[in-house]
Amino acid sequence: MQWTINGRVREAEIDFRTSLLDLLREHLDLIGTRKGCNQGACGACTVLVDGERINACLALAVQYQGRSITTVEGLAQDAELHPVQQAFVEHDGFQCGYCTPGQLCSALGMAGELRRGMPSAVTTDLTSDDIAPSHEELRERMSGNLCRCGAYNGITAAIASTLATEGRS
Amino acid sequence: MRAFDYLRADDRGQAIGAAAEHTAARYLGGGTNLVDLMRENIEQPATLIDVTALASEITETDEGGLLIGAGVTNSALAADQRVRRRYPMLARALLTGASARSATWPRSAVMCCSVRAASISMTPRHTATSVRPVAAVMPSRASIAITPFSVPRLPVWQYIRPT
Repeated sequence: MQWTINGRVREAEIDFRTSLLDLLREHLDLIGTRKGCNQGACGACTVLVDGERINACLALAVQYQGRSITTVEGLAQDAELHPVQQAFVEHDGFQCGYCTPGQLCSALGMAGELRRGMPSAVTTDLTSDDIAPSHEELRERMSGNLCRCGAYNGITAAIASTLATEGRS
Repeated sequence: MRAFDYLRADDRGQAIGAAAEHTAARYLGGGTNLVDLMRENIEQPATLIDVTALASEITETDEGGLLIGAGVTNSALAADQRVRRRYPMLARALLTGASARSATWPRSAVMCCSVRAASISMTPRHTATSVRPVAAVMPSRASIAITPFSVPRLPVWQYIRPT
């Protein structure tokens, strides 16, 4: 079986039962993606598949053959952090760091959803395609990523700052 | 999780044909629901038929409705402007569907919230011991399919005596 992971074609022979998370961690040695609850509740395993965020723990790797997968290892370019990673550093968006890879990938997937005008559970005007990334929207949209250290204020500040910079550029 | 065979359907005909040929087959979409249940051995399919490559379009029907392709994810359905304008309750249900279990199910678009979850959120919590369909029953066929099994009781408050 074959996948494109962080721009590189990777191959592995795996049991159909293998989750995308276990493929990354156990077969390809990409241990940046974390295993938290392993049942889709904590978001620590969030990766991007063709730019969209998914929980890798509940995804069967066999289903994602041929797709383009981005993990936290694929965010920085050479020695330069991705802007969202830099923002997490500047805004204290983590403490122990366990949830951070998932938070980062989730933030990037969420930014894409906002750009595409996707509504969330707290969007007041469902018909609007231009949804402002308010504090409430960000909290709701990131609610699938838990942080047991409780670094949520830093996380939302980091993401808000990244989105604001993105909006200006 | 029990071992299973995996098949990928490229079109509707293949998906239906494969389900007819194999016993204990289940259609597999995003998997956030089914894979979780398989891991707990609640679901034990012998064959999984991946239907994510099936039509992902939402098209107008002559009767004025919408035909939702089997490959449409719930988040894509909730994001569709026609659904948002003409079926806001469906859009809201999809967006808030998992909120009744927000402690254990993320509410973001990371998870494709299912109508199974939506039906939980629309049922008074204290009576939600099982899930009742809120739309036509098409087990595991589409993004708004209803799974016909009961789910465990929602967590209830338990008082633990101090020791």
